[in-house]
Amino acid sequence: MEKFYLTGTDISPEISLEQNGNLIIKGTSIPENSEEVYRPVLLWLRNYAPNPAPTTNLEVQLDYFNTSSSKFLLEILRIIKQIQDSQKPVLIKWCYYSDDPDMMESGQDFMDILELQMEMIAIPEDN
Amino acid sequence: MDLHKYFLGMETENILLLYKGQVSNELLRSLLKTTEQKLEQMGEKVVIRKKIFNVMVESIQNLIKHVEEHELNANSNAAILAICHSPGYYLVATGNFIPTQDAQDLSNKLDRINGMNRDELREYYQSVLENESLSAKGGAGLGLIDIARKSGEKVNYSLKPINDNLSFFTLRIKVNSHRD
Repeated sequence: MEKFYLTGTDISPEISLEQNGNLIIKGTSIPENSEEVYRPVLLWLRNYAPNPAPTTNLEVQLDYFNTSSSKFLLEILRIIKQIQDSQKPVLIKWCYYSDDPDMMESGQDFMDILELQMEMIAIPEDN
Repeated sequence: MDLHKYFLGMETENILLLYKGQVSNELLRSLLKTTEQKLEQMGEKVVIRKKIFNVMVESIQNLIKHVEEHELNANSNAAILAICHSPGYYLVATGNFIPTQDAQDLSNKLDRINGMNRDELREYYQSVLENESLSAKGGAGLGLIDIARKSGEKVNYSLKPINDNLSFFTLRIKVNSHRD
C-alpha cells in the first residue's frame, strides 16, 4: 500500500498515512466540501484496517475544524476503533492547545459517541 | 454618497468588519484572514478568535449550501456579515434571504436549541453528529448547534417577511471576550 500524503492549506489539514501505522492529521479543516478532502483518506484507511501495522498510532492535532469536517473525523475514528476492537494495538493522541477548551471538548465528543479511548494531550498555547 | 457618514457610523457602532454581497468560499477565506489580522492586532486570545471564526465559517457555509440548494437568484443570494466589538464581547451578525416556506422550520430549530442548557446541547450535538455522519448533505442544523455551544449564549435571531416567497433571516451571536 502506498503512503498517502496531503499538503495542508489554510482550509484543509496536512494528512499523512503510512503503512507502518503512523497516521497524522494536523492543521485547519474548514473545506466547504469536506467529502472531497476526506474521501481518499477513508478509502486508504478502509484498505489499511483489515491488515494493520503491529501498532497503529493516530495523532490528531487540529487548530480548528468545521462541522462538515466533523462528520468525516468521526468516520475516521470509527475505522480506527474497529482496529482496536479486533484486538490490535491502537494509540490515539488528541492534541489541543492548552488555552482552547473547545477543542478538548470536541475530542471528548468523539470519545463519547464511539466509546473510544484517546489520550488527551494539552500542548502549550500558540500565541 | 457621503462616505464620511458611513465612516463615522461604523466607528460609533464599533464595526470591525462589514460585508454585503454574494458569498463564496473564496470570500470566506479572505474575510477570515482579514478578521484574524484585526483580532491579532487587538491582542485577542486564540480561543476567542476561534469562536468568532466558528460563527463566520458555519453561518457562511450554511448560506453557500443554502444558495446552491435553492438556486436563489442574484437579488436574493446576497448576504450581510458584520462583526462588532463592544466592551466585554463581540457580536457576529449575519443576514440573508431564505424561502418563507423554510422559515418556520428554522425558527423551530433555533427555539429548540435556545431551550437547551449546556449539557443538553452537548447531547443533542453528539446525537445529530452520529446520525448525520456520512449523509452527504446533512444540514440538520449541526452548524447552528455548534455555534450555540461555542458561543455559550442564546442564539438571537429574527425572521422578517419580505414578500410572499422570501423572508430575511438575521442571526446575532455574542462571543464574550472576558478581557475588557
